[in-house]
Amino acid sequence: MIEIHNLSKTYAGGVQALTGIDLKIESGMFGLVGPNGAGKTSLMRILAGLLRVSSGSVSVFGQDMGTAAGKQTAKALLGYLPQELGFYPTLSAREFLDYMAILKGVTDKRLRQTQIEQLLEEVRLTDVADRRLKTFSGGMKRRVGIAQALLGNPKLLIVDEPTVGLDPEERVRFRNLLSGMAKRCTVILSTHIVEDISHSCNDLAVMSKGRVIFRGAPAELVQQARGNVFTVLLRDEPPDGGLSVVSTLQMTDGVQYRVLGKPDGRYEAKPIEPSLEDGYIWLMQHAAQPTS
Amino acid sequence: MDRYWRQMWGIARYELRMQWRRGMLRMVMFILPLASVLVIFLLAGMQAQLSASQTQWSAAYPAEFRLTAMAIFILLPAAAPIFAALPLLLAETIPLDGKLNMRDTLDSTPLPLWVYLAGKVLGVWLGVLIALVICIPVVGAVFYWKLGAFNVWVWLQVWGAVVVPSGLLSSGMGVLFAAAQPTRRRAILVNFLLIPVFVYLYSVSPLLQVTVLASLAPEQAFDLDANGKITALRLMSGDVMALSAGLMVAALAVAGLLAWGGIRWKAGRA
Repeated sequence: MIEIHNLSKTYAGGVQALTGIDLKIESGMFGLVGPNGAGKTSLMRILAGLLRVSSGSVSVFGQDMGTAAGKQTAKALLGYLPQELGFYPTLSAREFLDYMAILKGVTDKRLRQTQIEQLLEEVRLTDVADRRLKTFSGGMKRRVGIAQALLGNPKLLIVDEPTVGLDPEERVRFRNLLSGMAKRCTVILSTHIVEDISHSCNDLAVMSKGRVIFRGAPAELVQQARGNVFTVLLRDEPPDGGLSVVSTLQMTDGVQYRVLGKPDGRYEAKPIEPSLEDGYIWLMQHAAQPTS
Repeated sequence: MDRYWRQMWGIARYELRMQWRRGMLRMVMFILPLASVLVIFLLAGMQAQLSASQTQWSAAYPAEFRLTAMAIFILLPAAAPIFAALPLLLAETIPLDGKLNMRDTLDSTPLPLWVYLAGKVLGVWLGVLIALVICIPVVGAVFYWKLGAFNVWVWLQVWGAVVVPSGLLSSGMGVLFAAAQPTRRRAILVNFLLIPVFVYLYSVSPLLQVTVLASLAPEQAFDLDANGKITALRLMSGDVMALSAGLMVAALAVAGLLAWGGIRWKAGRA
């Protein structure tokens, strides 16, 4: 279990990245969603033992991440896929995984080879495993990245914006892969793409400006927007009057707008079922007070 | 400890492979023999002058004696500029991990920093050793061609006791000194500062002084057999070897501490 208590992070330049974060994350797949600059990556990097906390405490499977010994022990339990993924371009996928397995302490050659072959199979890269990484596409590199994060059978998998730059098919495959992983370890998925969360997580937190502004199940987030999502069919100008346009669809008899808010009598608005994205946008627009 | 050693050896193997594929190791392998041969050609021109100034003892000793002294005398200054250049060639070894965005991935593993640094240095050493092993016959052949038949055994002793350790010292310090630098350019600039440090360490090395002395006063330097043939470098005693090895280890330890402290300091600021 991961326990974060009153966590704050201020960078050397005085930028306040995180303020008073309180979270408890159990097993399964946990989503962390928020706009760019919300503090997700700072939080992920603290959980991975890469950043020091300014105040508060973080515990990963009972290891205090504020101490060097705790960090070192916790690192042996985690797999991390950073937002900015790095590779050695001159190594093949198999060599890269072998190198990373050695660094993770999988020093038994036979065990290492077995794990690498299993993971290559799992991320469907067996056929290209001996090709150099500089020839891989973005999606293939992401899959190598997730394979390296899974080396050593981690108890905690931290993936930071893993679907950025992937095509739709790759994204679906990646989400399914992560969902499969969540059966054997805790997965923390950080993203600004709400769709990624809606398809895979049963527990999530929304961050904004360094704070957690929502914590709960996806259905609870959807609930926030219930009664506030409508479609409006208009011929010319987009709707105004405090309505937020979520999507636009060209129809034969005009433009159909999906809007958030309470349309006044000028519009013929039809109420519809909110999606997770509606709930997220509604929350971002209306959350004034942080919750924990 | 066994785990740390296996990790260190694993990093070294892959570092050697990556250096080779990046072309850096091939460059070192090419530059070392080429530069050695060029310097030998330049310095061999001094042979006639040296022979003239040493006519007194050269008349008293066999040709092997004089040529061996000459081979040592030329080899040592020939090696110095090459080893001074090694830190520049190898400066990016560790900063490259940052450039390739590998820093976060590496730091998220339970690998101790000292094992990582030692593995990187070990990998570079393997490469430099391979380059030097290629150098020895090439340079030896050129010596034979330019000077004549010298005592190869004594000459190899100088390689083993002075040239190879100096190459390892220079490359190891080059990797460690630049380890905390964020970019390749900064790493190379910082390692420019290392050149005078290395030249100083090289010139105060007791082994170097002993071997230079051997080349200047060979009548005191060599052990001879009953037939007047050279059997060993007399001045290369255990004490001198230990002192030189101690200096080398101390210099590497200082460079290692600088690397370790620099990287820790940077991580602490994050």
